[in-house]
Amino acid sequence: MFKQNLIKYLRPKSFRQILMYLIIALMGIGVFLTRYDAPLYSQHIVGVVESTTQQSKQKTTDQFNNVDYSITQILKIKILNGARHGQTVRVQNNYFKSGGLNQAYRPGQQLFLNHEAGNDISIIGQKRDTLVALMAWITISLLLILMRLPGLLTLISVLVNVGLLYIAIKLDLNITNINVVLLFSGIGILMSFVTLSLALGWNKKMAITLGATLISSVAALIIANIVMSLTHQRGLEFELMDYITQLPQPIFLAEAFLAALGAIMDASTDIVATQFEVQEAHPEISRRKLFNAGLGVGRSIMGALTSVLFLIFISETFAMSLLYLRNGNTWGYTIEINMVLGMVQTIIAGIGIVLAVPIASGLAAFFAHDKEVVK
Amino acid sequence: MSTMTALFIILALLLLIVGGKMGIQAIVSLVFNFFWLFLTITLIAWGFSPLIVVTITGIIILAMTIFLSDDNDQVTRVAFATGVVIMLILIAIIVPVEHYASVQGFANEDSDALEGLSLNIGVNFLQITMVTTILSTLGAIAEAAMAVAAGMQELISDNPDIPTSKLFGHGMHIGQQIISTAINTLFFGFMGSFLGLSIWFIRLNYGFADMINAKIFVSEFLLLIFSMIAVILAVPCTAWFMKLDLQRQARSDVNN
Repeated sequence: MFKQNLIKYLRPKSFRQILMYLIIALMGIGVFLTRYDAPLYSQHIVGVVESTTQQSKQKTTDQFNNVDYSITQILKIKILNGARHGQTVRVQNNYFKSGGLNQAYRPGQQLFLNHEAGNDISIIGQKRDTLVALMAWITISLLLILMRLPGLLTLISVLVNVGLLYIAIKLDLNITNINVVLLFSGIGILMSFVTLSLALGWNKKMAITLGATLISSVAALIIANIVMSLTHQRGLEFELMDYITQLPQPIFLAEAFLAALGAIMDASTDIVATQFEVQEAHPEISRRKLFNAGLGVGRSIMGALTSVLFLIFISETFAMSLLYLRNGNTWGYTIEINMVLGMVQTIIAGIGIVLAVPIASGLAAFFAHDKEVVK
Repeated sequence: MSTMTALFIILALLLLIVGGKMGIQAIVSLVFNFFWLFLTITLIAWGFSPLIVVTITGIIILAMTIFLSDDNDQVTRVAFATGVVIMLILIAIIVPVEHYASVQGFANEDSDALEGLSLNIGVNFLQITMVTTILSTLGAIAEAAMAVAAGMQELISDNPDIPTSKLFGHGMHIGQQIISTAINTLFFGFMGSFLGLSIWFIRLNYGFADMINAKIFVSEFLLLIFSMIAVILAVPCTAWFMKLDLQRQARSDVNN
């Protein structure tokens, strides 16, 4: 049965695995302790909601006949840190039932509070560190327990890449007139090198995969640039991008480039790995057949990989699109304002993914092919 | 011609040249996925229950992505079953976690984009966050399940006499080979889509403590985390379903 199979798989078989379970358990205790980390927050007052009472509830209707409720609740909050540790305060909280911008609070939740001299206490927001730690812990545990060493290496590559991203953003912010597209594509290339080194090790397979990844992603970026200048960026309103603090167009391209890299690496790795296997199983195979074997693998994954990115980019715009529709906008306008930029980014990434199929197949067929065997 | 049309034509041509029939299927699947996504938003905007709508359209999106990507019946059958089961498990995890996280709707960082819009639209934004999370993981679930199923199928057709008791272990081993690239596809994908926000956080000097408690950071973090959990869970699930499917096949072979 499934349970027996899984138990057999999960049973620790070596000292190293027992150590892993131990470390995971210790991290779990660490997660639990974040419930009591309020004294560590010196900047804000932390409080826990002890009880809530609803003071008023009023029906509201906006100009599009959307019915909602404006609710006021009184929270009894016990302060957990700072000079007023242990005191109980009463704070008023207003929110709308739909919860678009503000939220209801429930007993047991921890909040950050603000108290400036002469003002009433106000709520800054919910304290979410325990939840973040818990979810990170669950993911890391699953990765280590189910995927073992490859899981650990994946985790390391993700963490190193977060560090590299941080460095890139710091460079972007601190060097004036830096070429943003070049900076982030350079960092992206470094990230691919780190990722593939940890996933495949340093060998011929990795070199071919990295080469295919770089050529296809840069080619996609160049195609995107050419098409954007030929069509005068018609229909692309970069000023609509979210959270923009600098010239938006280079950021738009950098986003598409970084997003594409992971999927392109995925496709290239699959293609090249299969070709090496085929080559090993049939050493006398011709280059042409080896190339076709690569194409076959690539064809069956390129659509799904493009869908992965498409769903990531478009799902993000979901709440805003819904808001536009309920605010009496047409479908066309809603799509234009919220979705077009994400779709174009997906298409640019998709071009990279599709290009990777012949490029990876070709490179591997050329370099992996064992010349000495051919008679 | 708009930039999007021009780029889409290039993508479609490339898919066609590289993929032939598979390329056409990929185009169809992309276009229809957009249609289903948009239908989901429209139905929710019309007042249908978000979680019921997303369960139905989610299954359709999984089916379109999986059945149009591969021609092998066994691979697509197993991957689709895995996809549906993982999606349901995910809904069961997402509902309580998002409830406790309270990262629905928008944050103060969004105020520019919200100008002039009425926010009190009577739709439960918490459920909208759940819908967003579920939809954004579907592609990753489909891709991981297909990779493991295809790998196992290939292994079995090369070595037909592998004992069934070893199949689960082999499936997990194949999972270990694909997990790195599958997780990195997600990581890079989300990194690309969060780049603007990441720059914002660092430019405005959010400290570590501010960031991990910020509504907007936690909401994006959860999207990434849930998709990773989905991919990891898809591995044992696919290995198990593949084993069941082979056992069933073996039984019907004996009966014939």
